[in-house]
Amino acid sequence: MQVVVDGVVKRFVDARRGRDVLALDGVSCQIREREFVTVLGPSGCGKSTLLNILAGFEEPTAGTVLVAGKPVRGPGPDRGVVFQEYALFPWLTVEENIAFGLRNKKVPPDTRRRLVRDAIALVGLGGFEHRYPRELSGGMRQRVGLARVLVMNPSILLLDEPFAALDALTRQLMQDQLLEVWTSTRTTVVLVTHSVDEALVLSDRIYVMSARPGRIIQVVDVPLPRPRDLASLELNALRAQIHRLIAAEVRRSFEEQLLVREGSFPPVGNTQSR
Amino acid sequence: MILRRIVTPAAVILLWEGLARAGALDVRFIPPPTRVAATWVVWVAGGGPAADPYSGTWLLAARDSAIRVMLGFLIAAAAGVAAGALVGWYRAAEDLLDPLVQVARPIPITAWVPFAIIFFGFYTASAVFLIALGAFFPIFVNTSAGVRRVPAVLVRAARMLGTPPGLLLPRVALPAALPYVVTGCRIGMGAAWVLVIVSEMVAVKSGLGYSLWNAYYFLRMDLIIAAMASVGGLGFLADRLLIWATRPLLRWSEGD
Repeated sequence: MQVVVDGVVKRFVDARRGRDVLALDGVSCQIREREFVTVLGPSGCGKSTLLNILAGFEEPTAGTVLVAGKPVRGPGPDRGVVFQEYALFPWLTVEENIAFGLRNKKVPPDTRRRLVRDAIALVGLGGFEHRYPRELSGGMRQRVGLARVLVMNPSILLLDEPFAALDALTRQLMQDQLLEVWTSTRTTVVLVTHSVDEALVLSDRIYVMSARPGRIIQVVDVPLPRPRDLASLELNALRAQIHRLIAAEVRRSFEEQLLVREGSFPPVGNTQSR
Repeated sequence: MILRRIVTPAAVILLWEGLARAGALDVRFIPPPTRVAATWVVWVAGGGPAADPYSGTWLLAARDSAIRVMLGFLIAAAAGVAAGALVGWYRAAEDLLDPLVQVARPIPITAWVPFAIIFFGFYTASAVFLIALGAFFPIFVNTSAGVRRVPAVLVRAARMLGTPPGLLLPRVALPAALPYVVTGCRIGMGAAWVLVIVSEMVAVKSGLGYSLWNAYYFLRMDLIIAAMASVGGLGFLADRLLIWATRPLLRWSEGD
């Protein structure tokens, strides 16, 4: 098993409201090498928290996380993270951004240049080597974000809603390119998204999460060959199933929030009217 | 565009000249621009009345002032960037240093003049001390604010890419804070020109500030105005120079 998540609980202290928030409530999953897995859920369900724990940015309150057999202790280049907000270094050019991790690894300049050139070719950024991030479109920025982790040859790719900020057409192109990259590099991929279609087009398996507190409420296998047709009967059936699940979850969570809010007022209204 | 930029100063100078010629100004205290210009020419190029002690001394005075500004500014920039970066990044440095700096900051630099004179005498060192002290604060404050505001996601990305924790400040936080650092330096450079004049007026016996104060004893208001204009021009030039020199460092940032 490439990734083992066992009984992970994450509790935050919400300082503003002065109470604890349970973000993850006993999440377990196992991901094999070279699998493409998606964590799907409504906003605020804790799916990014789960990814941050895998990346080593946050520690679980309870439970264990193993990546390649080793417990996660802080972030590292073996787990390449692609961020929704790109998180490129704005003062570095495309080329320098991609070389950033290799410099940390003290890769000799010759090898570094070659690896950077290969990565630029892989994501199709040839000709933009000397541009700064602000001079690039969102799709191109995210390709830099992908290239700078691929160049580190990670054992697992962690993608945190990487295409959420892109327009629909660019998003589709990026999904195709991600599949190409995944096919050619054969790394394990964990993708976090709230897009059912994105999950269906890309993944081997989908973990559907509940609204807060985050739990995995269903595991959906998608044993279909790629490239996939979103209009096919199989995907339509799966989409309908997942939509029903998520809709029920969102409704439940919304009603719970209403109850909490109403409950915070003392019930004086009725007694006064009597 | 360029015409619109010079029309207001030109109008002020013309009005001033006109009022002086019409007798509406007391030219003993507010000499007309033409007088100031003539004085300035003599001050820079020499000549004029044989008794004029300022004749041809401008370059020497400007050089002395400029050297003091540069020395003081360089010390302030080195110390301000280093201390500001540490305070902005490390909680311990903030706890240890920030209270001291924040209490010292509101003290007018002129209040340090007696100490400067006692410890450094009536020499360049006094002026450099006062300039460095005054320029330090804006550079420090801006650098620490810039380092504090580095987006957390950039730090995460750097750690994910294997940056050792001890190198996050020089490799991520400081470059990200560069626009703040440069702004701090520009404000510091402005303070440096103010303080070189102040210190030459009271502590050091050369430079444009000394000429200005000395001229006051002889009521040479024409020379005082020429000195004021000189400082304005040199301060402006220094700012332009700073922008030009830091431009390659900021090519990546928006709105440059």
